[in-house]
Amino acid sequence: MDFRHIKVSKLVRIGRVASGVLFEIAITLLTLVLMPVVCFLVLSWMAK
Amino acid sequence: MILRPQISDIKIINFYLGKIIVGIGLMMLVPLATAAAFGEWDPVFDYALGSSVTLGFGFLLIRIFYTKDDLNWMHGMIITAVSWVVIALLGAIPLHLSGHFAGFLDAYFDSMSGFATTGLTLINDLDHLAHSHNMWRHLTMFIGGQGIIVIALTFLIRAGGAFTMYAGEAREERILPNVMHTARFIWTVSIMYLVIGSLSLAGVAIYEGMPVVKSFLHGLWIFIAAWDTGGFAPHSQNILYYHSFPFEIITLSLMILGAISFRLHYEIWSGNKREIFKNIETVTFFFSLLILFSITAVGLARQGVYGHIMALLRKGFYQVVSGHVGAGYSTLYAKQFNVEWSDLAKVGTIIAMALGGCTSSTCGGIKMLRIGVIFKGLKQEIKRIMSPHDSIVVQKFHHITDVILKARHVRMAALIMICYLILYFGGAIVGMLLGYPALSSLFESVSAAANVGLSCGMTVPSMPTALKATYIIQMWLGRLEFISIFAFIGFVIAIVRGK
Repeated sequence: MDFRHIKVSKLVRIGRVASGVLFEIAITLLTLVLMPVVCFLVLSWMAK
Repeated sequence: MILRPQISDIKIINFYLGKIIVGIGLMMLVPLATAAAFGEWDPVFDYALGSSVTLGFGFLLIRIFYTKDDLNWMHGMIITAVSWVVIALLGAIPLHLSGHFAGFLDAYFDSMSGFATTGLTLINDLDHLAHSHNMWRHLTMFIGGQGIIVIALTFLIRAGGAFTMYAGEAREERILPNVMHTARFIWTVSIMYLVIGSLSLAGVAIYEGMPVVKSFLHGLWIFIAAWDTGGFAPHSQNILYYHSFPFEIITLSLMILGAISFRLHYEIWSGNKREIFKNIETVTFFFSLLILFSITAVGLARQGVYGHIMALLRKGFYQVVSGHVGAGYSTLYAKQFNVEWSDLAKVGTIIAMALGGCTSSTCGGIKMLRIGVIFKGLKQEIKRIMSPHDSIVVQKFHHITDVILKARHVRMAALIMICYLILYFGGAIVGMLLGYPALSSLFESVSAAANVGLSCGMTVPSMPTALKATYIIQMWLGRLEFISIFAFIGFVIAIVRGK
């Protein structure tokens, strides 16, 4: 297939948006993991 | 001297109001089509009537008040304030006709709750509601969350001064130089996540054993209410109905993503990923969530309701995040807040609800930018006291660019925060006057005013009419963040007392 008619700038923009979406999802999931872990540490420290 | 508004002002306001009403009438065709597709013939009539009345009223306003004049700042603010009241009224017609509400006020309550993305509900027998009515309830959240004005700007209005209406809807940030492009960008982000979120939720539902069509419908509805931080669900048990950990993770992710400012989405999508670590809103949100979740968790741990730490973290974290971003999704029965949760845990959740998410997002509440600015102002004052008498203390904060903190930033943030606090405590006092306990009254009042939707069991069809009316006003004021409503009150005073 010939992809030459697709402008490179458009591909770059699509790539940027896709990486942006993935980055946002990754950061959100990281927050979901990190928060309960930190809170667990706080609770453990308080229980001592 | 107050100047009385001219006839031309009335014409402009009603003309553009008519256009927005026409937009809502067209939106009602979606549940109408849903009803026809699923053979729900009674709802077909409800939406045919609702849509006809709405379109008829909208076209009548356009015809009577036709004008070619552009909007000014005052017109935009008043159109926004009035449109939310009128649209909730028209949106309540098919809900009232559904027969699931005790009266029109209850249907209006749900309609305002939907448009204001609150999520409190007075519906009866939600579990047996027609698909079309569920579609409309969730669509009201999508319309309200995206912004009625954003929708109107995208499809209906091509006027100069359109930014005034956009700002009136508590969205003072212009993402792109042109407000129409800004509105389109908001749609792009939302549709991108609509595809990802709905398909993920539908996939999990199918995996959990739900029928395919129902899975896709629930995926779409739950996405809408999570992304627009609304909180409506197709079942009375809310998210607890699904009994699914992956479902909880996906809804949590969508709620947090919905709570991020559209301006920040734009920066990240443009390649400026570091912004998320530097922005005053995201930093404030992270620390606020951490502190308030810790307070709630300590409260829950002392109460000893949850036998296992994982259960405590899972239940506690879900409600706190849901409250903080203003979504109102819950994995508890409403009564459990009163019966099982300690006062400390409830206070943690109330503060989270009161603070809210980011500006220019779909959230309600005071908002993280204002909290961050007030803290920076406090820091500046402390520095000033500690510094030599003649020294100049410069305080900066980072919000897309580095901004030098000025007195007007702190003043505006503090003013809006005071308005919210008055609204929160005002609603709580009404609850207490009607005989409800203090903490429950505050919980429900903050939930309504910050457009959250978590309930500790006070919001039921049998609650007093005065409280229903109070929460309706709180939802309206909280969603529009006061300024446009104050402008509307000033406009009414000018009509009566102006010269």
